[in-house]
Amino acid sequence: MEMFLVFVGNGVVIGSIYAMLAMGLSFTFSIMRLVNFAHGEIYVLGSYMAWVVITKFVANFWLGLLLAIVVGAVLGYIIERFAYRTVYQAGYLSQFLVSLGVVVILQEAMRVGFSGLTQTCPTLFPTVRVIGKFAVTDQRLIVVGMTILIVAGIFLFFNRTKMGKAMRATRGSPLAAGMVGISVPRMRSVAFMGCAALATVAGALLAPIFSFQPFIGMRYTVVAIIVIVAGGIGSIGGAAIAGYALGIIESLFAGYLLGQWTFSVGFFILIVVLKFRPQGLFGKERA
Amino acid sequence: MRLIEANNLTKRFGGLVAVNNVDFYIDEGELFGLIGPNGSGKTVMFNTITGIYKSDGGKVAFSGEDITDLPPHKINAKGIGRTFQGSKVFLSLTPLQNVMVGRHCRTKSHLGSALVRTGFSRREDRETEEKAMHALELVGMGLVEAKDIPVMALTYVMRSLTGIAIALSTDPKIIFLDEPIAGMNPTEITQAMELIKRIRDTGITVFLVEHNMKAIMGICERIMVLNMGYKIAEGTPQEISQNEEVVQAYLGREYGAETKQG
Amino acid sequence: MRSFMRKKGFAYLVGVALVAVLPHLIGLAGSAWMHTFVIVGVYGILTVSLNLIRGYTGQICISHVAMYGIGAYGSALVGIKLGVNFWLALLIGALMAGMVGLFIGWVSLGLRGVYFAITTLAFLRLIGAILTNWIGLTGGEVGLYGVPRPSIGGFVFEPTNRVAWIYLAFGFLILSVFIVDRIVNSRMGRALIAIREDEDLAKSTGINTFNYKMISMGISSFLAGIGGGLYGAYMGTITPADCAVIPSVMAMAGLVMGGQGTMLGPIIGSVFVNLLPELLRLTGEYYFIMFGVIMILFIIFLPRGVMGVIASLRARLRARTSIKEVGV
Repeated sequence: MEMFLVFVGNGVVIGSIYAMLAMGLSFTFSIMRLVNFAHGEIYVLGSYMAWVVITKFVANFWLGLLLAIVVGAVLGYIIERFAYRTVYQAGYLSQFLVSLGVVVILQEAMRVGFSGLTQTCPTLFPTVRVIGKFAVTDQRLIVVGMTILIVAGIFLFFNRTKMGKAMRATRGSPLAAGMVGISVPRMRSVAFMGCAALATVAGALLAPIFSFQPFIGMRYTVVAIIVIVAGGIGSIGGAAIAGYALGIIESLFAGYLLGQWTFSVGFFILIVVLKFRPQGLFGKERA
Repeated sequence: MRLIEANNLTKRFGGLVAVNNVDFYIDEGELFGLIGPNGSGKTVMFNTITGIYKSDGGKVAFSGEDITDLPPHKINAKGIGRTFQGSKVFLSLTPLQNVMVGRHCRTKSHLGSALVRTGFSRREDRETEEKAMHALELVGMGLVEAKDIPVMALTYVMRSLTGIAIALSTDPKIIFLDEPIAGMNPTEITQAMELIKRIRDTGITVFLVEHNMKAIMGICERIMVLNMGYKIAEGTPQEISQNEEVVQAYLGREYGAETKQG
Repeated sequence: MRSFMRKKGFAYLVGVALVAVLPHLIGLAGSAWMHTFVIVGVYGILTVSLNLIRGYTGQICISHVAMYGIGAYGSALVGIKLGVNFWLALLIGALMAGMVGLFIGWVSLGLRGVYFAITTLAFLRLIGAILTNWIGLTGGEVGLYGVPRPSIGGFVFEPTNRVAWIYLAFGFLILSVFIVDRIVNSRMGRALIAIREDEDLAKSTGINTFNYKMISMGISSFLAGIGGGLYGAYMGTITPADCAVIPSVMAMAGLVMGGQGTMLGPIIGSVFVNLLPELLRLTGEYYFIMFGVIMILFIIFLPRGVMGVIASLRARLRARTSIKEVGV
């Protein structure tokens, strides 16, 4: 029983990250119908940002997070404005290729800037707390805590703020949104900035827990993709829930069975979901 | 037996009820019209019957057979053909090629006969081209002359006509026309009206959605009126034009909304 | 068959003749290019099959290169571990690729456009991961070696015998083109093209789009598997490197550059993808970036590829001639 809880606990931590990655990607998918393959690379960059701050400047995790957010938002703006904006009308294949160009550029930039070696970041919250029957580091608690805050923040944003509602309108129909005075280009910028910032924050949060290197991004992009498609096309909440579910199931699988084949768990879930509920667990649109 | 019979047909999008418990029927050989202000649910109704949308309630029967929620290709195979609003056609293809696609559900050649061309498949391909030409000729209005020009180079009206020809070549028992005369000038409209009558005279029942009052009143024998998802009237053109609710629906929506609470 | 021969027989004859003299033409440029051309031939089978699912059925199938890999691994494994005759192994490998393709299709083809594309991306990575991790079966990152050679009668197709391999590769290439050609110009082809042009309209016109997409997927995957099996036998070793995103992009970009939805386009695409980097290598270190730039320029300015340019030129010539005739 103890082991079970430990695994679930790990799963919640990982699931938080999956949830954040998936939500960010879901933003851009539903609002811009855009394939952003560089998502994983932006996540990795977030890890590097935290690492840079903590090891090169001030040993302050929150500053690291802050830098991650800022870099994420700025990078998101740049990518949207200069790479993706040129291909909105051009069809999926062109978007795909541009997206891949961004991937390669980011990977190379990180390799040149930080070296291609695997990197680890020291944790500033190593204190282990004992909660009930199991022990958990503060760092992990922070990860989960921050994610919950962020998820709540996102829901508030979409439901209570003017800009959030404007974004939902844009998602439904960019044409109609434009006609009621919503600046669709600005919505896209903001959506992408938000998506990138979510990715970098996730990276920063996990930097002290998992090692990273410039070429590891695709793995996370694929996870985000699986979570979005299984969790529900068009549903950001669904993405969050599915992210946690996947994290927990993967963790249980890795704990009780073969760690090496853990990556296949997501695919099984995806296949099963797609066959029994093609629009995803919480999906609104029929894909 | 009625050709089409719908009972309590309902379609919702989230909180919005686009088609609300609509009953209607169409008899064989009729020229049946559907009108209503913008947003009243006409195209949604078409789409729900032809399988593009899943219904949220009610049933539709075709010659007595329940066809509710069948996928579009099966609906077409049963004998319901349709056009789409906005001249939806296969853009890179010519009208002739477009219409040849329409013959698909009435032909059989498969992968095997693609690789090893049998006598059967060759004959079938020839027949496909002939029947496609028939459909083009039935529509007329310049379509035959333009049959080898890629549709994307043709006008909006020509594309609409191609759409009608595609639907015709599927050998339907009834054809659903969704605003076929949009974008036509008065001469074309007159010709299109003749075309619709011609189609009916070949034995195909017609279910017509249109905005153009004069046109629809001019040729339909019976008309149904939708407003905000509800059926508010049904009858001959004369009865409809004198129906107060219908008039209010078009002229003064506040009046219509007030009486329709609940 | 007769009418086909009349219309296209000549083209195929020219093709076969070209292939017959190809080794000698290449020999003139230098025997170093012979190897590249064998690859062009085998890779061409990949692009021709990709063209079926992409150019004619309109689906963006990012997992397609994995079918090449599965064909390679499948036929190699069956040949190495079970000692099966090469041709049978090739067939089995291709069938395996076909089945995997069908499975991926069965799972994902209900999804539209972008969502189908990203799901196939996920599957591409999955296959790559399986090939890398199942060390017992596939030898992991190091891969397999000692792949058996094809042989007819007593004659063995040694990879060093470039001329024989050019004939073998291009022979299969022409066969693949023939198969795709027949499919595309049949009732089935009309259905696929309709799906490409407008899937909703195709559905309402009586076409069971899911089934047709599946068939297209299966055949494309099978053909790609044949290409992969040949590739494996030629190279002698195979690794999971082909089952990655960059190779997948290259294949698609090649197809776009050559001209999607045409018969010759994918062959030109194979030439681009395999020949151009080699040619550019002569210009110095940054050849890969230059290649990327050329790719991007093509996609922005010439989205219909080389065949598209040829088609526009033809149309312009025709227009000019008819204007002359009318005396304008």
